[in-house]
Formats: sequence, structure tokens, C-alpha cells
Amino acid sequence: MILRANKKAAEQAAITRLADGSATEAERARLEAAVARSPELAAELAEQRRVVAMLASLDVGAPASLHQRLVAPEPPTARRRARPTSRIAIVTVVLIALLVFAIARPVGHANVRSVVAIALATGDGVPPGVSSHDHALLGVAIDRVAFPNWSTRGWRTSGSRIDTLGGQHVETVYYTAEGYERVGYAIVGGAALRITGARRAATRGGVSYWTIPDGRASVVTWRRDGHTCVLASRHAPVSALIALASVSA
Amino acid sequence: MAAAVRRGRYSRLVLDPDSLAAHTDRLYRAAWALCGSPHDAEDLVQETFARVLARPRILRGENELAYLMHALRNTFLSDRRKAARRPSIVATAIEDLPLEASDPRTAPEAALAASEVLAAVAQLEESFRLALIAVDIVGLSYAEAARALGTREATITTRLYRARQRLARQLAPTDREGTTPAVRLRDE
Repeated sequence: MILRANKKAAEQAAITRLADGSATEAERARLEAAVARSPELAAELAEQRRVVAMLASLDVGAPASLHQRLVAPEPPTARRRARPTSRIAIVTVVLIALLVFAIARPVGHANVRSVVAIALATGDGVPPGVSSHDHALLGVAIDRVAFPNWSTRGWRTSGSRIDTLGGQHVETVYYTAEGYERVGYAIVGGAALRITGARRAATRGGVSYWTIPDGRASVVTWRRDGHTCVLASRHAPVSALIALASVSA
Repeated sequence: MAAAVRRGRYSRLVLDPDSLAAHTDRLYRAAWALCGSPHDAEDLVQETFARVLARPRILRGENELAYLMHALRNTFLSDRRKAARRPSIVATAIEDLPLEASDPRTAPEAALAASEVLAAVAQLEESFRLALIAVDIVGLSYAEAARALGTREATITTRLYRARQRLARQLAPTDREGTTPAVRLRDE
């Protein structure tokens, strides 16, 4: 009885493998001979093959919206390098635009774009250590909003900087992890900044995460205790930034 | 696809975030078959990718797809456990993005047939369903599927046999009654 059951199980395993082409040559030859002798086995094999073919022919692709949400920005090295003359022209135009912008703009006003630029810049400050009160946080905070400690997730702090934008303090901590480039996490002191030109990408635990289109980087912004936070990276995709941001929100 | 990284005396493979996009369609089909709904599948794939990308991942002798299948299964099981512990109104609040039309590359009739096949897969018993998804939808070998699902290769083979058998029988009756088949099994 046990021998018969074992034989049946072995036959079924061989039929399973034969149906999807993963049987060895020896199994194939042996089973094909057995199938030729047994209409029951032939029916079982045909049934298995029909399901394999049906599932292999499923023509369903992920919606474009899902692809867009998951896609990572182009790495900077992939972009075409500008010629020196056009680079000078670009720098000149940018400087003029910044000058006009600075003159026209009322003093005392920061915006999310400038915080993004800081988050993507370099930080020469000392990498902050872990808070002595709470190991989930770093020992650096702005208006009592502390930066998260992601070391258990493989991210260590690599630098920091402090800036002032239109009278508002911006504290930034940079994190790095093996396999990724750097991620900049900026918290703006004082009143929250208006979010413009952003698209809501996700809501986690009641917090909305917004992504800002940027050809060079992934940018996510949200609010913690009424403060604007920005997480930006030239390499990590938006979904990874949201995952990190939601740890600390 | 995976990037080789040297650390100390050892060389390891780190999952390359840029390569994940190539697996989105396959993971989406697997997610749909796992949870039975295209919208839940979108959330499941996004959540899986978010978890995988939250920190660097080391591939220990497995390929990316097997790793992602493992992550998809774990995310599905963990989300289901969480959903069971909270009121249903919260379970649907993970994303508030507007629903968008499905992929225009797919013809409506094909999408209908595919949705019925995937819905039928979603009704299979979980262990059978996972084996079927890993091998026949994601395309893993039996050994990879066994590793991704934390079981033995022989167990995968048995579950796969039964899953295919049940799926064939589940979808077959409408064919026999002579009505328009919900899903036509393609002859080889």
C-alpha cells in the first residue's frame, strides 16, 4: 500500500516536471513511455500542460501609474555632458535669474526647492551621533524635531550642515548606505513651507508624502510636528525615500 | 543585474535598485494572483518594493526574482496579519492615490480572461497558490521556489501538481456546459 502510494507520488512529481519542461532526460523518456501505455496518465499530463500554457500566456502588465511610482531617476552619469561654452552660458543665465529672483522676492521667505538643493548638496559638518535618550533618534534636532537614527536599517550618518534661508534655519543630516548613494534629510525650523508643484505619492499613518518632480533626483517632502521635512537623493527611488521617511514621521 | 560589492575579504552581491523595474510586470501578475484584485496587487507590489529598497539587500546565492518573490510573500502575509488586527476601514487607507485605468497595452477581452484566471488562482489554498505563482507565474525553478517559500523542493512539486489540477478543474466546468467559457484553456 505504501509502495503504491510512493509510486503514485513519484509519477505525479514526474508529470508535474514533464508538463513545464523541467524534467530530466531520463525522467522524460521513462514517463513518456508510461503515458503512452496509460490513458489516465496521458489525461493528467494534458491537464497539467493546459494550466502551464494558460498561465504562461497571461498578458497582463502593471499599470503605467505603478511603473511611474517605482521608477528611479536617471543616474547623473547617464546625462550628456554640456560643452564648456554652453556651460558658461548656463551659469551666466542662472546667476542673472538668481539675482532677479533675489531682488524681486520679499526677504524672509524660504521655499521647498531651495531646501531640496541643500539636501542634495554636500555637508562638511560632523556626522551626528545617536541620542542618549532615544536610540531611534540622533542627537540633533531643530525645534525639538529630531533626526531619525536609521543605523539598524543600514544607513549611517555621513555629514551635516546648518543653513539659513530667508530667516528660517534649515538643519540637514546626510546618510549613506552600502549600495546606495547619499540621502539628504533636511528639517526646516519655524513655520512650515508651502508645498507647490508637488504630487501626493502616498499616505502612511495619516501623514501625506509629496514628491516633487526633479530631473536629477528623487525628492519627497512631508511635515513632522508642523515642520517641513525634505528627503532627497540622486540615486534612491521615491518609494525608498517614502519608506525611510515613514519610519520617522 | 545585481551589483557585486567587495567588503573586506569577501565579495557579495547587492540587489541593484535600478534593476527592479524590469521585474514589475511579473511581480504585479504574481501579486494579483496572490490577493485576487488588481488594485490590491498595485499596493502589494509598491509596498514590497518600498520594503526591499528601504535598505541595501544582499543576495545570498539567490537571483533577484527569487528574492523579490520571497519579499512579496512576506509582505503579503504581514499585511494580511496587520489587516486582521485592525478595523477594515483602516485596511484600505494605505494609499489615497486616484485609481487609474489599467494598462492600455492589454486588450479588454484578454484582460477579462486574465483577471478570471488570476481570480481563480487567488481562490486556491495558500500553500498551493504560492507554489503555482512562484513557478508558473513568476518563472522560478523548483529549487528557487522552494528557497523563496521556505520549503523543500519535493513539497513544491507536490503542491504544484495539486494546484494545477485544482485550477484546471475549477476553470473547466463552463467549457463542458457549452456556454461561453470564462477562460479558454489554450491547447498546445
